[in-house]
Amino acid sequence: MAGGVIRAQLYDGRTSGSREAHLSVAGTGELAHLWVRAAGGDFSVPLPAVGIGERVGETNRLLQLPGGASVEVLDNAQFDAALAGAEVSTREAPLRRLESRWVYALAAVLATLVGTVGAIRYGIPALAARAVTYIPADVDAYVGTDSLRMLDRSVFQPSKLPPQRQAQLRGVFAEVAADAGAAGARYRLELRDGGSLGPNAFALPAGIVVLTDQLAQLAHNDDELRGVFAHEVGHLVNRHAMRMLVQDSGSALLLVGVFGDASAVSSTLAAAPTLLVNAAYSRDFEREADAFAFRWMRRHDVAPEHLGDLLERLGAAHGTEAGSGGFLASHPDLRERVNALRSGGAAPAR
Amino acid sequence: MGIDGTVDYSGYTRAQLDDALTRIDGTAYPLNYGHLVAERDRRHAEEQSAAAARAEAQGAAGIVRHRPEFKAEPREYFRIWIVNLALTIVTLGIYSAWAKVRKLRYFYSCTTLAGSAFGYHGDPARILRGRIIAAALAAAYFGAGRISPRGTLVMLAVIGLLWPWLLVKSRMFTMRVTSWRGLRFDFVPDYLGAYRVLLGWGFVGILTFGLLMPRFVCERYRFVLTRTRFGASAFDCEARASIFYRTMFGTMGIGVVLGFAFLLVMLAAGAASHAAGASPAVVRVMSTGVGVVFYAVFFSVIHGYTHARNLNEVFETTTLGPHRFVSWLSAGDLIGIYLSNLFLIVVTLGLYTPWAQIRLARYRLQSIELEAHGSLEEFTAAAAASVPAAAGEEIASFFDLDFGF
Repeated sequence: MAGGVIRAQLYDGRTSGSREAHLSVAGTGELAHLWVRAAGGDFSVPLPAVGIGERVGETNRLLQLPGGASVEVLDNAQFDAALAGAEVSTREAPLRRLESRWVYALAAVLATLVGTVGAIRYGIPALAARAVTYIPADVDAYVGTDSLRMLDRSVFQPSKLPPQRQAQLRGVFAEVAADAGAAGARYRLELRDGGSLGPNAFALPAGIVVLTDQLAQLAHNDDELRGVFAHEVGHLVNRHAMRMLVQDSGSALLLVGVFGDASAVSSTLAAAPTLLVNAAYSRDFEREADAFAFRWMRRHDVAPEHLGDLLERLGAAHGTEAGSGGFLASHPDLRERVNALRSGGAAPAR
Repeated sequence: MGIDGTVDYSGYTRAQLDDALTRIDGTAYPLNYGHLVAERDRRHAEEQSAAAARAEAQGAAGIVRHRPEFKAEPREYFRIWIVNLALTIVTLGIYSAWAKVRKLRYFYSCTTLAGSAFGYHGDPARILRGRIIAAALAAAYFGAGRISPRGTLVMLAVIGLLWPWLLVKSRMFTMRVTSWRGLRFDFVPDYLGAYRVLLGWGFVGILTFGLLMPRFVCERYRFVLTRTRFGASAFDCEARASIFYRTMFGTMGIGVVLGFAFLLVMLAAGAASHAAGASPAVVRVMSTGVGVVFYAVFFSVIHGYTHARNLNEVFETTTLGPHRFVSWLSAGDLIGIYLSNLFLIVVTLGLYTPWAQIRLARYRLQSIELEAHGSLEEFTAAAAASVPAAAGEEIASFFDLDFGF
């Protein structure tokens, strides 16, 4: 035999005793036999009856013999050569080839990078857009009303605007919602004293748009508020809240899968990219809603600059300056949004 | 070679004998072959008795210390890791079960004790089934949290009630797919005990505002070890709660000091940026950065300290039949490994992960010794126990539930 001796350890499966053994393979294919020569007796086993354990890297193979005994192969290369000589192939052979060359490792780095980025950038958003069509409207309604109830209990007070003004605002909102097709009929405006939230407006699933008194007062005219409503209706029409829900969960699962397998320390590491990814998703939705508002305003002869003006005043009220939109920001940079609205093209929804 | 039966093998060296054994044609020279095997067996018996005598001489009472060896090679493991990760992503996660088995096989078979490697026998197809169940539960958990804050509470309550059961299942799975020298480990299921220790002592710990938490930690370690078997031999653990109390006070002290240091840094940074007239945006980014670094340091220090202290106590009081364990994990070393691993993983965007895993595993394995009182050859097998479904293990590892090892 060309490979010389194949050293191994024999374990009988009944005790933890180990015996030195030498292996050889005789015959080929289905007729191949594994010979085990050890102190206390030599024996042979038909090779097809042996459970040939996977070899990973340069580690020892474990062979499971019928009857409970097992063999730990110490000379792996020689054993593999003997297997090849007997025309027996192992299942992990193709994988071992991939794992043993740096070229493949480099290709794997690229595939991982492209796969992760592609899934986060395109795969998960596309999947989420499809998935929400299967979520019944009742779930939206539950989520929306539940969130509003929680905010009412914690930060909001009933609106202090005069009843006429409230009615007027509802009229303006209905005007915008009317343009959103059949679903628009179910959209409704909720007015609240924003409390610590200050001037703000947001859309909740199930067609609820919340406008705080503070933002209503910050607006110089109703055209500015039309812009705000159009932006929020843009969120509703595209079911952003529910898509966000699915996308967040999907990306969290993916990132835990990719980065979270080392130890508890690195699963906390996986939380950081999750935050970044969620913020990026949120910015994409804001751009999409801005684009929707822009188109609506153009169609109804409302100058898009109005929304830009209000955004700027809103930014000043919250103490955010232009240029502060970082990777963790939930909204795109303020200057980018304002410029986009003024220069006649809403910020591109990347 | 001449006439059969004429070769005198007594002058052969051991290597020559082995070589002759692989070359000889047993059918043509049956007598020579018989002599050869007889000579080999005689030498083997001689060597065995010589080795036994040496062992006897070494330890007066037959005490031999075995330190596990960890032969993993980071560059080799990097290739295994990245190829399996890429395959997982390309197959949309389905391959992840096979990848897990492959990685665990590598770690197990790189670990040798007294010359024999550990074996991992998990079945990827069953692990995949477990992973699908775990993913469904995780999706329900995320979804419920998003739909309503009450959803999170409900899911947490469900997982909390399942927790002891999950951990027992997870431990059964992990132990029963682990082998050494052809014998399997085992975890004897004791669901009632698990609920008593985990939920019972856990609640007592919470109700006493953490005062009895160390007792809970101690009971948890003892529970898991006393139900672990190697073959037919049982582990036992007599960890003392007093040590865990000392560790808790130490942890509290460290926490206070670190918190105070963080406050000082933030105040100093705030004053400095105010004096320099930094814009609010810059201040926000800076304070976020300091917060993240502090979190990493805090987590690593607390985790490293409690882990080193607790595991030393646990292993030093653990026995397997007549055998004992020695453990000298150092909190400083462990914290250093955590922090440098964390830093290098971040700056290499995750590519350092294989090195990090191997460093940690090597340190932890080589800080433990098995103090053998007598032979390690005399463990016997227990009746074969069936490996349970992998769902428990997969759910537990997804939600980071473990027994603190």
